[in-house]
Amino acid sequence: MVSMPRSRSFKFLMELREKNQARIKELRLMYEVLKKSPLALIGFILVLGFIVIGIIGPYITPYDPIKIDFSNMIKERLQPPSWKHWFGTDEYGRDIFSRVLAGARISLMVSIVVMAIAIPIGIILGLLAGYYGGVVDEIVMRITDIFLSFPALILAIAFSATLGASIWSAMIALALVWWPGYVRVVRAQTLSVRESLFVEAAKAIGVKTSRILFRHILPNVITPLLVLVTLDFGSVILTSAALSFIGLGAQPPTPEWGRLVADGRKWFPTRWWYTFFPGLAIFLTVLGWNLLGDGLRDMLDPKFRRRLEFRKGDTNE
Amino acid sequence: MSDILLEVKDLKVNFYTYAGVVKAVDGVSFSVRKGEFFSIVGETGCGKSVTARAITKLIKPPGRIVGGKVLFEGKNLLKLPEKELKKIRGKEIAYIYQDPSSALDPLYTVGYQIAETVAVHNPLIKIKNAFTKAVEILKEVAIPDPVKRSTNYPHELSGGMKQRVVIGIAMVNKPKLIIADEPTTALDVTIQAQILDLLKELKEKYNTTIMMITHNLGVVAQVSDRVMVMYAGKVVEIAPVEELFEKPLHPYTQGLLAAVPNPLKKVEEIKAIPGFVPDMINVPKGCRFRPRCKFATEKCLQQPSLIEVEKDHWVACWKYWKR
Amino acid sequence: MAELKYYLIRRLITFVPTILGVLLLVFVISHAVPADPARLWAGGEKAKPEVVEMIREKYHLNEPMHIQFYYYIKDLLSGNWGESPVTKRPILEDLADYFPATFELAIASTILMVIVAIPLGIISAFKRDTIIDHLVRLFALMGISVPVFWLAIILQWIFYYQLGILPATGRGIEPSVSYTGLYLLDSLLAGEFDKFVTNLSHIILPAITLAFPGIGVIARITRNSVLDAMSSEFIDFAEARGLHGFQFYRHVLKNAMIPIITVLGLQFGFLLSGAVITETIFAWPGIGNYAVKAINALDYPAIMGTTLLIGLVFVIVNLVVDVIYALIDPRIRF
Repeated sequence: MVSMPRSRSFKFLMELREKNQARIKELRLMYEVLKKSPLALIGFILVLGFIVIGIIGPYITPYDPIKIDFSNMIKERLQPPSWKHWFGTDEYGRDIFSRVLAGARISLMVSIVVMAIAIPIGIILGLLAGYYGGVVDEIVMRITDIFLSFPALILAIAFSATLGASIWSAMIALALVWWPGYVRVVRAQTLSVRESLFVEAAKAIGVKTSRILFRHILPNVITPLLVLVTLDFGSVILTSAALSFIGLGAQPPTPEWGRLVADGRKWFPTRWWYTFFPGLAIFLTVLGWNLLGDGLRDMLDPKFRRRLEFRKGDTNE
Repeated sequence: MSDILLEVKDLKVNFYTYAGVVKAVDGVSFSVRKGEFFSIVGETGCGKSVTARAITKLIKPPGRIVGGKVLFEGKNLLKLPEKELKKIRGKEIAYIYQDPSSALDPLYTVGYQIAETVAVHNPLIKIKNAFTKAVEILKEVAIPDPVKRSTNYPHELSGGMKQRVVIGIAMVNKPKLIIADEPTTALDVTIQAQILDLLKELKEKYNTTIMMITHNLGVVAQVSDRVMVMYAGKVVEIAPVEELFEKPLHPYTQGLLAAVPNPLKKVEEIKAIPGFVPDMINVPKGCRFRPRCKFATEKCLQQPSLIEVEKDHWVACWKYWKR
Repeated sequence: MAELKYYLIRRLITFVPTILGVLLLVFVISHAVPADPARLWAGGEKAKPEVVEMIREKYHLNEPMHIQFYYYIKDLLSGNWGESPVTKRPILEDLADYFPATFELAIASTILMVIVAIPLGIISAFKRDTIIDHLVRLFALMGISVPVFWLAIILQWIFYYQLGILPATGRGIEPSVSYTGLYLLDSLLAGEFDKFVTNLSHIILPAITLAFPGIGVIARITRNSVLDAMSSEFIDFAEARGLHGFQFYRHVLKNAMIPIITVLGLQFGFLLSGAVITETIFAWPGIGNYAVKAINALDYPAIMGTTLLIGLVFVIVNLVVDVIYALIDPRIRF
């Protein structure tokens, strides 16, 4: 009696494993890549650190990142790094380390919101354009091309300036600029999957189009999209920091990293820490995403995969 | 023997992959006589192309020539410095590659590519002046309107035309030996015959020697003087073409001929050879054909060497050893 | 060569809708997105009602959208890109004043990018999977990860504040004659070598900053295209033909050039957007600097004018890239 539920749960686990075999293989391969490539591993650690700080950052700051302590302001302002203030203090006596920690959440939020808007738009338009072709494709791709005929930052500046300087308008502006890249990738991938046998078969037995699109084609589109999204997380963080740096995007007293660099520049070079540490935070975070994305790209490169699988076969025998 | 142009002795080429060492060519020996049409046949992966490329050391990592000699007019090419080899490639020994669509650089006109092949081997000729030579050779390989064609880019020519250009490039420096690696495989059947005729015609005209690599026995029968059969990196049989088709000695050659409509005999039943080409990393011990051979005995666990069973007819099989 | 001519004509014809697309997008951003365009153009909340009304009248903002678009195109074509409420000057005149500085900086960065990145990529390809290759890869990833504004500040700190060998801001001294608007070229043409040296020292840091992200990208793409070319059958055959030295490598390099040129064109667009930040930090009097000043002064027409100009330049650069592409690769002329 006791063993019954256990064996059932075991069976369930085995079934789960069987169903997700491809995904498990994918994860294994990812693990292999991380093991083989120290750069990708560093990227993974940086990204993980960024996400963790983004979530818990505001709760672990040693000082209040936003409130100004007017009673101690004169004494505490613009102090160089010390054990008390690892990254020094700003002109209001606030602890820059605390502000950088709190800033991680803003960058994390901006990048997630931008992706959450841009990716679904990209997927839907890309699937439709690639699957239907013809007029739909023509219209979607012409609009996409128009957006892509501007450098991303410039277009983001134009949108952001129109919508008014705030972190929300910066996010909307970035999302508006970022979706066309995903349309391109999804469409290209859809085109190559569209003709494959399983799609033809699904069509022949009368599966609904929406089901073909989302259950049959989409899973095949996700993998190449994953690399692009990983790399783009870095670019979005970089671009949103640039927007804040030039005065669009986050407004004071928000501890946005790009904003911090801009504020610190006024005190440069004598109070170098004010501008140096927030910039370093941006650099390391973006580098993390790029190292990870580059590793993922290797993983999806068939040549590299074959090499890894060969090696594995080698050690198993 | 003075009539021998090329002699390959115990050639060994390995490929170092993550899965293990592949002995792609394992102790291959043969010689090519002046003025003959010599063919090497075998299945994909038997080492015939690797042999062809190893002759002028065109093997790239992860492959490496690990042993043997290649004597060309008495000189061991494998011992020559790269600088000397560059003078031989395309001048003394010229190659014809399998797929003409990928053998020509898409960004240069065919005339230019012929002309540079002339100029690189003749320091006195500038590429510009070699264009007349290019037009001449295009005429030789029967390309209509050669003056205009020489200014065409590869993508403007058909597959057959491109292969004619490749043959032209091979011929232009009047080489002593032409190594044609599957020269007709990428072409339509109708064009194949034309290209083979052209090769034969030019061979007579220039009095050159051709060594052809192919997996197509029909092609072999059409043009060859002598044939060498390879299996899994080893030579199994060498014979004059009629001998080979009429009296194949090695069980593999027999199987090979039974598996295709014999071009020199009446069509009978077609039989496939049982089993598979061996895994090249874990090759069978002894004779490599042993696991698929119906005559296999205890003896076959040792590698047989080539013996001359009849004049000019060599075979590597214990069946023909007089004990 | 006849095909080339037809290709160019075809490419020019498709260029017209692209330009229209750029205009349309800028039109939508400036006319359709804002709740009250006239107020925004006049300078926002602090604008005087009579000025707002005047703008509404002048730019036909009470008309339906398609009529507005018609007038928008008409105005642009007749050189009326609007007027800045801050400088009180026509936008086009402002842009014409600032553009040469940006152009000069972008050219300098491109040259820097090419002479550093392409050799780096080629070395990386020939030394693949060695420590040099890995370092180039890391360098490339660092290049696209570093915030340009932060890099600029660090470079200023090293070369101006610490070493004192390069100026931190400004464009140098204006040459006495202006042929092209490019200081470096003009000072050479005027024979003023001392000014040339000064101006050169001023452009070095901004050019390095601007080129830095691109260097990594171009080095990587060079590496990969050289490797691709090297592994192609016609390079094998070129070797089998006995080609060597320059005769051999010209085949590798010309084939590798095609993807490199494409990416170079794209990078030029990033240079223009990077200029917005770089120019601000180095006080480089270009359109990027102009745009940031406009953002802070709520000078909306100036922002949109800069956007439009950069969009147009980017589209034109891509046209030039396509032409170069066709010159190199005969296959795409059809």
